[in-house]
Amino acid sequence: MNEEGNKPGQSPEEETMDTRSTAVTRRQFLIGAGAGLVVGAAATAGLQALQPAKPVEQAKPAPPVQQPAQPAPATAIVEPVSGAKLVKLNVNGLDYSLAIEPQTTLIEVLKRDLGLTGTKLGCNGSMCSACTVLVDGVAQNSCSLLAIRESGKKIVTVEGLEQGGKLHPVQEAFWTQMGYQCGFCTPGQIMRAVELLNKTKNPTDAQIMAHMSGNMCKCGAYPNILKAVQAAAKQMA
Amino acid sequence: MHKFAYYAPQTVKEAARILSKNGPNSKLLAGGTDLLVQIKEHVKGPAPDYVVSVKNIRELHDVKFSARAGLTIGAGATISETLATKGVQEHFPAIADGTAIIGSLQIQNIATIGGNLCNAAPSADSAPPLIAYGATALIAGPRATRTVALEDFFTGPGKTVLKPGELLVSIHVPTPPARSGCQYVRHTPRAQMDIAMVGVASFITLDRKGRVADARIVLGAVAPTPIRARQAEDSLRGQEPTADALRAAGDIAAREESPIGDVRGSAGYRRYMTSVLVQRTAQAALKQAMR
Amino acid sequence: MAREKLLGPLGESHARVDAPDKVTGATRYPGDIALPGQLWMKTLYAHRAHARIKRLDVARAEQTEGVVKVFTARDVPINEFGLIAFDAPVLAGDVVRWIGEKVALVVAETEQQARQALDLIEVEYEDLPALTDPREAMKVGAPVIHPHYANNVLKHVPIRKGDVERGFAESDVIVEGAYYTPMQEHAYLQPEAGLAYLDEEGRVTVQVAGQWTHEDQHQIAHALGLPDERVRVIYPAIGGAFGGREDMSVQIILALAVWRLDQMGIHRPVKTIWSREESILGHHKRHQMWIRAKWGAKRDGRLLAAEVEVIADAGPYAYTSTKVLGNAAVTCTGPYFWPHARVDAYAVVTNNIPAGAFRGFGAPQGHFAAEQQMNKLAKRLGMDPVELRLKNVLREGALTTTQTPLPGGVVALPQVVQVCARAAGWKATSTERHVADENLPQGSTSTRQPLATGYGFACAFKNIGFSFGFPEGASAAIELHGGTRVERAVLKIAGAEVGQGGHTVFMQMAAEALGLPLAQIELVASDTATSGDFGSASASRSTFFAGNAIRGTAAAALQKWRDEERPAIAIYRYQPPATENFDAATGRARPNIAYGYVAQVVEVEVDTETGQIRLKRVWCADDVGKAINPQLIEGQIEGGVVQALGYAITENFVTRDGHVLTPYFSNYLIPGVLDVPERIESLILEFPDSEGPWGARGMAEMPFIPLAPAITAAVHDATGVWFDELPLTPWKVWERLHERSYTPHS
Repeated sequence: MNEEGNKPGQSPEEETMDTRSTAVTRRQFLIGAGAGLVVGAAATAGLQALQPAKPVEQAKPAPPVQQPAQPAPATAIVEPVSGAKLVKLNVNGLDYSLAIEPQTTLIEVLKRDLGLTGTKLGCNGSMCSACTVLVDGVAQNSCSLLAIRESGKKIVTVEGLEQGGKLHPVQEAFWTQMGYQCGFCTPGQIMRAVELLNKTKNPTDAQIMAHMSGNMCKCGAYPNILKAVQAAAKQMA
Repeated sequence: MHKFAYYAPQTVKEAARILSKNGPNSKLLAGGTDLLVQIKEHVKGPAPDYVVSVKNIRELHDVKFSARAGLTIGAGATISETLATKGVQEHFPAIADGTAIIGSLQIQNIATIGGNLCNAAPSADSAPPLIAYGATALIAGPRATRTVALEDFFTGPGKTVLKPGELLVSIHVPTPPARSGCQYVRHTPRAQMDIAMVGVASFITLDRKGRVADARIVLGAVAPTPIRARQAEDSLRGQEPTADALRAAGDIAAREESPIGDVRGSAGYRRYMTSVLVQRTAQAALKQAMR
Repeated sequence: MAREKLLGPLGESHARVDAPDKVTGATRYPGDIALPGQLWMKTLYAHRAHARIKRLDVARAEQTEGVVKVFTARDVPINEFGLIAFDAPVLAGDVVRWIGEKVALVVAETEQQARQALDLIEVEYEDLPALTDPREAMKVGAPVIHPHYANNVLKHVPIRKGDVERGFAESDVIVEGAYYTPMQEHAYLQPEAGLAYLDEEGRVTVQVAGQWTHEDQHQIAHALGLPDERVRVIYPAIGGAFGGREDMSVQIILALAVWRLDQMGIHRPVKTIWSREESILGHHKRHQMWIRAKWGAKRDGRLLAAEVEVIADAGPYAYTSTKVLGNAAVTCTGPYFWPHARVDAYAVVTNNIPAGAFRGFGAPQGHFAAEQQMNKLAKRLGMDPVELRLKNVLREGALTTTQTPLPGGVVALPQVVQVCARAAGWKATSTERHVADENLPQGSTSTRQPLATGYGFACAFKNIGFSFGFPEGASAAIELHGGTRVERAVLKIAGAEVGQGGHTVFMQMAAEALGLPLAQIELVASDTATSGDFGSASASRSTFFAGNAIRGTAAAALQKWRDEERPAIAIYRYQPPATENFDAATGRARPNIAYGYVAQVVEVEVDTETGQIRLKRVWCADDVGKAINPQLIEGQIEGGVVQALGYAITENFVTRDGHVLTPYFSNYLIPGVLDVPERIESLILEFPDSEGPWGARGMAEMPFIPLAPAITAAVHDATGVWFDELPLTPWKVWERLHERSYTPHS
């Protein structure tokens, strides 16, 4: 990605290449394709992590939807939603209004529409938990949630853990304890551990292992993952 | 994922109406942990064109317990919500046995007991303990509601007594009597995140003399639906629960089932595991009953 | 935390240099990278084990909304690929030889549109007989699957040393066994993905997760009919590899699509992400092997003669099969001295999924047979298995079955054996109180929970670096910037960071070689445009080859610095001593430049009623030569043990007629945290290798290799039953323990 990052308000076109040519330089990489995204006013602060891009994936019919002045009431839908529907999500402290089709999973929204690529898709079937995020504080597999059903929820991804430029204790522990090898399952492991330590001070080893048992690691870094969670628990106790 | 239209009704009636209008082309979506995988992988026929979410139906999310009235689990309540309800783990340890092993904790945070039952996998872990506790299912249709014993709820793999337009509203479980105990154990090759090869729930009530007053033994994953091992139960009633009696009950139970053989285990192996697990769960149930 | 924290000398456990990005989610794996205007590609697979394509019609698919182009075999300039032989089609045009054979590629505006268009491609097949058992396929008269390989035998390795008949005649004890080791799926958490585009210099560029940038580049260039330098391969982060990314998955097809589109005037990047199912069906597996062994020994335990036959299922194409087979041939007699040996190893063409590289590369299969034989022999002789090893392990100067001594100075086999046994308290734990067969549950069941504990021992050796005369070497470049003193150094090296911590080790070694703090080292890695050929991240070779390349490059750069060149830029290629291929008649060879040595003790608990085995504790002694970063080495030991636990017990890759019955994580069961042993004790030994940088050997594969036979030895200790087939699923264990309806693997 662009080292400097796009400043909010900067026209995305300035950064986007001429799509008639595939000559690409490193600085022109985008984090996500950014289809159908509108960032609400509340979201403009601290947006460095996000590069709203010119929608490049035109095939998705859903146009960007303007955020209404008032939050939409949680009305029941007695008629089916078959096209895109307005969904409001708070992701890592920022409010988004997004046009989302019913079959879209939360991870697709995070990665494709919001450019939050830290969350990983390992199996798309709830069997590896690489896609774990916090939904209203509860760890869930974002591959198995329909985004449309999570409207109004607070989502935290691995990108949302840092506070004021300081790593979350769990992140720091995964760093110092080498709680990973290839790193692909790591965001899910970290989110799962954050949930545990938010709820349980000083968990036992057995509690940690039971809690983390849905998160698969094919590198077999489990002993160091356990050490990392223990170290973070000490830090957070 | 396959495109579908999406409904989010707020009442059971509304949901039933939508289901009956759209017929078999519509699917009820509870937690979605099974349904979404089925849609993604097309494992159970074509993906539905209509998906009806129960998330906004408040009454489906309640879990209530009192010693007098027993336990009522809304069909849309998640496993985590159910297990967190006061009294559940204490009075219904086998429900915890059967649900705290469904998938991962992430899945339990999303998945519902209602969904686990309605998906009607022969290996569904929540079914044997609930049947063993004598649970009943409350079903709503567009016009009326009805109640069936949970052991009669399943009609085959992926099939239930639910008629088009009907949905499961809640499960009711009576509070177990004194001197009773119940345990569920499943056999899987892996320590977590696995599908039962055999699952057994044994519920035992003792009389004042320490003999078996009642027994309900429920076998999962060894027949097209969860089944009661009635002959094994009969063999225990009125008996001293000796090791020999339990061993005999295990062997009888193993003969009452019709397991399939597949890549994970032969029919013979499943029968043997049934026998082993009947003994082990009955032992544990006895321990609880004698407390 | 600041990066300064990473400072420190060689041999200390630096934090990993990739940690900041990996714990914050900033790391980009291939599927995380998007480009403006990108198109999506989906692949049509044959899903047939063996068939002739009679008709292929893509017209309807091409007319679908959003579809830009559908590619077929006709679009591939030179329709062949392969690491060892160009014998596999990029896209099948006439015959499909396995279920994952690629038949067509759809490129569309969205992933959904590409996927939907797959259903509209019309293919008419004529099924051909599928040969899925190599023992049948190698019989004279069996239908030939691939025109390159007569009798379906891809490779035969004979090894002849001494006179085995005499050896058996002189033996007091003969032990015979037939062993089966299964296919294994790599199951790295990151499914294959990639993005292709033309870079600013017009090079066909592919960002992908692989193990060997320059080999990917070469195979892409070959298929497109381009010179290598017109192709560029970049590895962003790699989500696990374990050998599974050594052969081509999405590399060539992405390059083909973007290059053909460009010729059509469509100048847009192309991206693809495989599903888990595609990953499991679409890339090679560990070779399944059938091994028959007959060993003879003297009463005092001295090994005399070994006769071994190895049959490896290669699948329809060579991939790396000839080399894997060579390793199995060398290791199937164990790390022992043999006066007489006769080995015949065959890699056989079938219609199963192609087999290829996987951590251990033939050595786990060879050692499973060898260590089972050794443990059975110890039992037969009534001798302690550790003592029997110490009597027979290869030592300095002893000739292997290929009639050459092991290279590298100290051969630390006795040391790893002794250290491991001592650490595990072997004398105390090794029991002669095997649970006798009559103690097993009689009748149907018993009400107790009969948990039996057992201990097992195994050891192993394996080569470091490419074998058998395969071209070997590694390049690096270093730039020294500054005025009077070096202010920063840039290391350019193509070696892949597959999760092992390779890049951290590279930087530690560069800091050491240059005499600079780590903070002054910058790394530019894994890009064919910036570095020379490094070879692959495989064969436990990264540390060994990077270290030697970095030392040579650093010396040259420092010389130029002293000669006042600013910046001082040096490029250097480390060229190891040459290796030799097997002699065609006797197998005589100097096959390798270096080896690693390992020994393990395990404790298991067997539920004799359910057949469930729990691996409780593992002691692993590993001679690494020099531990550059001990914490990373412990990680490799623990990871190797966990992966081998999957191989030995939980992972059951089931196929029928060439089709995979376990294509999901819901039925292919990789170990979870609750399956992992309570304790994995890493015992790191440092006997320097004479060719290794700072004495370092490779070690990443070693901890995998002895675990399975150590477990089967422990299960025997607990139950009195030998298990000669993997994996030890509860069902299989139960059947053997209870001798019911048991049929050997067919």
